[in-house]
Amino acid sequence: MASAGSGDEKAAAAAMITLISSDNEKFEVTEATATLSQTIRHMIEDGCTDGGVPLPNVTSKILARVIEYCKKHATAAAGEEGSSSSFSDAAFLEVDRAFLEELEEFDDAFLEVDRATLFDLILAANYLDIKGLLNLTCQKVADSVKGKTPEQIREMYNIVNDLTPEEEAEIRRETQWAFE
Amino acid sequence: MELLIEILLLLPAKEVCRVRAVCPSWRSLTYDPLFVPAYAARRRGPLLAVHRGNACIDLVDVSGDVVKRIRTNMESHELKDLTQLSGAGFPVWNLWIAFGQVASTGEYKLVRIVEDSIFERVGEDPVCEVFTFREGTGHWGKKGNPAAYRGRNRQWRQREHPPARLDPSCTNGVTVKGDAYFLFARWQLEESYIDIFNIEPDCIPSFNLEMEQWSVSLKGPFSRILEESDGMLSYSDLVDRLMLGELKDSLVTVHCNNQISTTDLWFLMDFENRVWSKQHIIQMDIIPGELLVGVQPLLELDEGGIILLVQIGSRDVLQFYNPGANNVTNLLDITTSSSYVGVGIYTGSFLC
Repeated sequence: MASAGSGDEKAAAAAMITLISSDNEKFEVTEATATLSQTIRHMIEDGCTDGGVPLPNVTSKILARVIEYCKKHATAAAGEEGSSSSFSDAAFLEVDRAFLEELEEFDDAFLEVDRATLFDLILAANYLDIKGLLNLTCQKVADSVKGKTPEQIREMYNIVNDLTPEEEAEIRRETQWAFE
Repeated sequence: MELLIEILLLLPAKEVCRVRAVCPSWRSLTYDPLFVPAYAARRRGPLLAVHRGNACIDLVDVSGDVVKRIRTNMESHELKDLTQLSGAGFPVWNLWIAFGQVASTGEYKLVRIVEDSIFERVGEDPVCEVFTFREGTGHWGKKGNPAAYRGRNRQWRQREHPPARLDPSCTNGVTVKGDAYFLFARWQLEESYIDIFNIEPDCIPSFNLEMEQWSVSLKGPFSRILEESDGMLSYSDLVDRLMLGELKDSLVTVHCNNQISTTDLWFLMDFENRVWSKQHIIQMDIIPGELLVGVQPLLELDEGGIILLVQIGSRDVLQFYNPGANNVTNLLDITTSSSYVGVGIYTGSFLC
């Protein structure tokens, strides 16, 4: 039995992937964590991850955050799969609910970042094709725009207003209901 | 840019319209031929268009939230015509109307049956007229609205009048698969009257939009409603208590039973064999003393559940019926000071 256990550990160790950030920092992650990224999943499927996966578009600072997200969500996914067989339905639902709540808390805390980091996370999520993270971060930006006036949005995101006052007035007239 | 699209797709329609004023590139994005359909695809569920007799139409989602308000420069009476065409509304005196598409040609036709002041001209037959909307002339023709055609437009073609008087409590015809269905005034169909009109009991009159002819070949479930009531109901109890509706391409007879505050929905299962099936018995939430005036089914959702337009006393309310739990919940009170309320299904863009 003991040898079977260590065999499993070996298999897990073999399934580690090395990610290399744009500033050449190396991150060791499990395959389960890495494959939340569709981009990396495809690379693994194509067998081109030996010697590490270079990610020239992602800095070590952002990559560390992305990996933090993937680790948490990969564990959650594994937990859901594993628990279904070993718990009664009611117990399973209870565990499931706790998981989801914890995950939500994690996500909320995860998004407590400055605006520049948030945009970098969006870019990284898009490049790495991590759907959950992309939705999460885009939603955060969308929420920040809700209920804001055009002036406030421009200020928040340093957007230069090159509409003439006439053009702006016309836009407001077009869809007057949106400005009420 | 691609990511900005991703973010804008997450915003409610009102916000999207507002961020157009942020800068030109955001503005052009929201009109982009890729953005508009993607945005519509993200918005799950249909919208109801609610018109309350004033100069705007509210678009309401299936949870009862007003997601958008369309102001129009049309007069409210013109709008009233419009919303009544494709949806439900409560009776309009002496005017029956139906709107639908002819399958073979794709043309839309509007049918109206007008009874000119019934008290002055007793015995005169009502006038049945058809208007065809053709492509290329603009949706409402060059005048821009249907009211401009009223009375003096040659495109209204007079057709044979209905075989007997139509039900004044159910003035919205219901179009299913190219036939517009109405109800006969029930008092005419008690047995003593049937001989005069040579119409069998239970008949539901229909107007075929392609042939532009009346037919009385369909029979409703009215006798069965009486039979199943075990003597609790008679024909006179059905007066004003029946309506028609359309759900998922099926004709539905709605029976509001005031005695036990239920609304029964009878679906026409098999047209050829005139098979009706009572699929829902909806227990209405009525405070004692309130009168359930009318119920019209508007929309059956894919995940089950039916949206109803309910008139209780003088209130008009959108309600959601959940068949699983057999309960009815309020979505939106749309009571207005004007006597008119119309609800249709909105199929247009969210972003104008």
